[in-house]
Amino acid sequence: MNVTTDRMTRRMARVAASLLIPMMLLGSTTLLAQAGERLPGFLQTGDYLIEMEGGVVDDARVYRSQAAQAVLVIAPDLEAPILIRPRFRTVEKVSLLKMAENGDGSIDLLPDPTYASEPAFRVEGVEVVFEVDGRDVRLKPKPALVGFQPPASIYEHSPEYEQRASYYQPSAEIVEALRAQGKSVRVQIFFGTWCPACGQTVPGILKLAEQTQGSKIEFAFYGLAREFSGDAEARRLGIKSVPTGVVFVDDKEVGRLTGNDWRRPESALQKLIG
Amino acid sequence: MSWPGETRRDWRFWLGTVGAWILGAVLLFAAWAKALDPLAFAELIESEGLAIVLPASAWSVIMIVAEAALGLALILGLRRLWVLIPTAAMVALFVFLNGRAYWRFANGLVDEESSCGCFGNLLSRTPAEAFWQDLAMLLPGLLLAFLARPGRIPAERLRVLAVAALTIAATLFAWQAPNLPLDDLATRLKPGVELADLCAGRDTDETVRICLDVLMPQLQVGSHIVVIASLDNQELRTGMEALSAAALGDGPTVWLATDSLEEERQAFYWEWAPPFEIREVPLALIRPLYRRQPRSFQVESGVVTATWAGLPPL
Repeated sequence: MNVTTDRMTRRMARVAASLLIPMMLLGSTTLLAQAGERLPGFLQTGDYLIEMEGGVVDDARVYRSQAAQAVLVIAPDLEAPILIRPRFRTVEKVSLLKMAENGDGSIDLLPDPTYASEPAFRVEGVEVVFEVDGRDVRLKPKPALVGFQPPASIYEHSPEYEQRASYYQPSAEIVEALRAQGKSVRVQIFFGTWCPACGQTVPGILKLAEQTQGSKIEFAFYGLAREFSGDAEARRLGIKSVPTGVVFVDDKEVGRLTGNDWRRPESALQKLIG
Repeated sequence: MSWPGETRRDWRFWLGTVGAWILGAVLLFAAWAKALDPLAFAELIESEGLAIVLPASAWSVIMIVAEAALGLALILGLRRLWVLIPTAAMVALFVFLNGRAYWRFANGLVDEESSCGCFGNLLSRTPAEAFWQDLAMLLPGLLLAFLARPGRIPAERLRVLAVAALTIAATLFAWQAPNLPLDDLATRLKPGVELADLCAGRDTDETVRICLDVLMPQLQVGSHIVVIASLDNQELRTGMEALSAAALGDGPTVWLATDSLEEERQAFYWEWAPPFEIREVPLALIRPLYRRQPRSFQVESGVVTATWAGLPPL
């Protein structure tokens, strides 16, 4: 009962803040996001996690927009979404009424989206620290995803993978051939969510995995930390770099997807399977 | 007709002469390749720990000039000990450096990209290839050059003057080369090149070959401008406003390719929030693409159409 009351109170406070504070601050918006400017194209990024008062905030989301040159932080523990504009060193609260979610999951901020300013952020090494209502909020690089991971976990950890996977179009002809082939194939992909090359190449094979579902080809995705020399699975298969795909036919390794194989992974896989 | 004191022109003389010509040609080509990008050679000297007493940039010019002078002297038939002994010392140094890189690579102490840049950025060789190729190209010529050395050389003074003139020219060229518009000549990045041909590494059990089109697949479609720069590059920082404005405009998509570390990329983002993507490209792939940073290029559907020293004209 108390929990429900707390939630309602918080929600009402958010709504009130979204509606009343902008009106109160209407005459003093010089420090806030520029009037009349729409800030488009905030895409969710998996680069950061949010810490408040030393604890990780679950369900927090961080968005980044190249066009707006800004970062948007949304977390249930925050009274309002937070807009960070590195060029101006500003941290501002965003009215919920000024956020528009697009069909592809991206967010646009409508003109005059902010209603209150917070102190400027500071950068401490690879972390970004700012204050909201007197509480310390910290953007920290997200730890790497480690071990066997289903695609859904990868997408949840690194939403960019899902965005890029949606752009990749494997050759329909090869996908059809792969689906029709009768050998029992297992492809084990070693990757690192910290690795820029993986960010470009693994989404392609995630898309391929999706399109070959139900066939005799099974994909397994295995995340590695930056320093993976001690990882037993990587050592077992002699993984030297990521991304690497180890291809087994009837439990026997027939080859690996490395380097330029990632250009068209479906084609490289078809060649290895034979 | 023979000159007093002149060695008889028998087959041994000609074998020695041909050996000197071959060695001289290799040294001249190597000097030319390095002179196109003396800064890259200076980096190599620094990394090899050879910058003793003088700075690496000074050693770079000295080595290039010495290589050019000795190469021309050999081609002009000056098979004197004052030419052959320094040449032997130089060949010994190259073979030693390549042998050391090969040994380090074979023992897992360095990666395969650490091969000697004796031919600048024009050739990509593994440590093993660099060692064996240099041994094959330099050693036979050197040994043959000692064979049946002439006692008297016609117009010797004129030949020495020609070497001296070339030495002065090579010094001026190596000194001024970084400022000359030679990027397309000195690097692998030039108009007409496909991104799929800009690659590093080899497919072996230990290493993989990777090309720029795999790391930047988005460049295969449409029009793009790519800036190659370290994130602490002053020219890049000075030009960030213009670059950002261009990225926000309707023109080609702007990219920044860099080998800077994750921490540097984070710090750069939180300082500039660039409206373009920063893409990490390994040093082995990016270093042969420029002489000096920043360097920029335009890409149309995966093919380089223009290059610029510095930032692109925006």
